[in-house]
Amino acid sequence: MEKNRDQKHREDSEIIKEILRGSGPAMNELIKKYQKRVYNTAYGMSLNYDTAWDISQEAFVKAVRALPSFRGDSSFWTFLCRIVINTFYDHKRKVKSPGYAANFSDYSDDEDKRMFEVRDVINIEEDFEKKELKDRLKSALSALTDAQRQVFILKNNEGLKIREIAGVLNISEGTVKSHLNRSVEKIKNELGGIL
Amino acid sequence: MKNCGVSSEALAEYIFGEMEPSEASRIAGHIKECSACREEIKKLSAVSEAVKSIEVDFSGDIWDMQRASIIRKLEKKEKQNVSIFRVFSPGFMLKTAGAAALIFILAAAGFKAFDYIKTVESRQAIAGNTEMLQNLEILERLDFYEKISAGKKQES
Repeated sequence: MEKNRDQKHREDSEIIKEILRGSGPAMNELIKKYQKRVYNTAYGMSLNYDTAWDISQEAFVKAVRALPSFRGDSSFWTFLCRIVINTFYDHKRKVKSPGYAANFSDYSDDEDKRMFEVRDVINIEEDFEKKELKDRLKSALSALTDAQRQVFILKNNEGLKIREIAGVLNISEGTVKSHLNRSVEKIKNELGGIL
Repeated sequence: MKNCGVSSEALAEYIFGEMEPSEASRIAGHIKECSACREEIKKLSAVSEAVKSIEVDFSGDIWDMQRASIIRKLEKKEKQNVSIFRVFSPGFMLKTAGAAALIFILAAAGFKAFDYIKTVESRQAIAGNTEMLQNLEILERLDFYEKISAGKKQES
């Protein structure tokens, strides 16, 4: 029983060591552990279900390939967050570039091309009121700048410390605080009537 | 409008757990006394909870599918990488350099051998030509002497 619990909550460093030794199950374990958080962080940045799917896939591919350079100075989660943010910007650049195809991935010509709308497979059971709130929320978050939205999502939804966010976004802690305060004010004003 | 001196920024820091423990307990005490700050904290908590609610979830098989797709992409990248790494790996480069050096040595040796053969052939040809010229010269001399002796016979 104790052993099972230990296996379930293994340290990231231990899983990463196994991946670097070539363990497939360890890779599966690491992705499974962060899959939902990565998807939701990507969704918080992009506010688009399909884009978040593509960004999260791409971010995992980059993260696993970058594992040999992960020294463990920061937590694996902040390392992963940095990759999600970079992938988000890569995606924005690709969308803007001429000749951009429908699917984001570098592998859009391969057999893994997403052949479904992500919205169709999300577990959403919501009444009208919740839907209205979510629509307003989405519009409030869209009104933020990328940096404000990233700071707010990383702080509010992911619980990162201001110091960690500053490291992930490569900005000063003062700037993080300023983005956080502005985003809180903007969202609060946008949702004023319905909260 | 709040006029208690506690800023909205401070309340946000309190909500997000970014305050020093002593400062956080001071704010907690203040909230009990100040209705405006209580109201502000209520709004901030509602904002925080609302934004958390945008998180989505999929059924297990959809997450499995995404994971399988990520792993396939990684394997594909790995294969491409292996071929690239092979080209740039020290072992491969050493072998390639060795093979190139061997080819160069063989080519140089072949060229040298060809050159040698050509030299021998040309030496033989020169020797042959020289001998022929010498023979011609001897024949011409014999002819010359025959003519002289024939002239002397006629005179006598």
